Amino acid sequence: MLTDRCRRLLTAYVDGELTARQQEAALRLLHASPEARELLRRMQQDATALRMLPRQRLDRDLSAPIVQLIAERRLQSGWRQRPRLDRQPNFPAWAGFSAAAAALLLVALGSYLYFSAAMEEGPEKKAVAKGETVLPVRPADKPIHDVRREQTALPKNERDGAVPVKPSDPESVPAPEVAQAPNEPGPGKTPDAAIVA
Amino acid sequence: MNADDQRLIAPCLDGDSAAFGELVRRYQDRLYNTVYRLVENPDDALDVIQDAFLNAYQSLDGFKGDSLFFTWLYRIAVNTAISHRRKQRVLLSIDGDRNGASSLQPLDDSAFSRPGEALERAEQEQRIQHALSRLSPEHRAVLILKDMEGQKYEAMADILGVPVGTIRSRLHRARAELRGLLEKEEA
Repeated sequence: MLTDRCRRLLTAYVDGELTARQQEAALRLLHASPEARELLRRMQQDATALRMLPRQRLDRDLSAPIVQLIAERRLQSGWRQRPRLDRQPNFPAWAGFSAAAAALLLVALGSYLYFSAAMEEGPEKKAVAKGETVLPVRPADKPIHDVRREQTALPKNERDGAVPVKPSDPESVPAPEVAQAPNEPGPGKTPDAAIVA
Repeated sequence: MNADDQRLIAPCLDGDSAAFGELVRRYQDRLYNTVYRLVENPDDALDVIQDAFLNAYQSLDGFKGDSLFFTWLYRIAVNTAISHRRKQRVLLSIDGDRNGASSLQPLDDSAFSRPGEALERAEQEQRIQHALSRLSPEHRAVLILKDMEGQKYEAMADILGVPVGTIRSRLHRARAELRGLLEKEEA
């Protein structure tokens, strides 16, 4: 029983569309298989019978009726959509290349800026998204010391998370208001002479 | 693209339908034989040819020139014939006795002097034509293009708008199917 592959090879043999390698394979198959030879004979017989069918010829000229139909139906030949190949472009070729180059440069610059910003923020953002504590980046010139020791040195209320009280700058703290007794001069003021007398 | 065809296509695109008439005259016979074999009826074949030429005229701007004009025209005609065949509900057989409408011409005039051979040939033609008519339009088209028109795989692929591998497969199945139908008739 011939395989489908062998049958396809024989079909291509009848069609005359074999490569040199396929031709050799077909000849080996035909040499070895009587079934293949019989199938080839029948297919070639069919192809010859098709070729021998009488060729049909028209006994009339269709050109005039078709031209008349074109006129009657007012058909267009598609000339409106015809590409205007004979027309010169309105701008020089280098302008197009320049525009394309500018566009590529913009895309490249935008990509660079975007990914640069993403790289700077990226690690911290990712950690926060995961719920991790983000430690500040320590400058290279400052010594590394144990943060936990710092935390234990702080007063208890600060260690517990209260807002730490910074040592205040005397100049920045407004002077407290002092309650004044009646007729007592305010700070920096001399007493009223009438009262003293 | 053929230079002669180009000299006729350019005025057609400018609206000169008379130039298109020359193209019709040039290719009508080649198209007719294939279309006739596909639709198996001379009147239908004429209708299909006419439709194919009118469609070609209207879509002439779609011809890019990357293949022969005849291949492009052939594609339109074959597709129109296949579509027409699909719509047909009744399979028609060749009727050579149709009064005044037949365009069939005998291939060999000596058939009249050797009636035995002529009869045998006529019977063989009837058998093969009958088997061909029972094939699907796609299978019939590839056998006609290959065996009757002598087209190569690549040209057939271009005409039918399918890959070469599809042409190869279709021909294989078409030949197998034709062989099966002929064996059934012989039995």
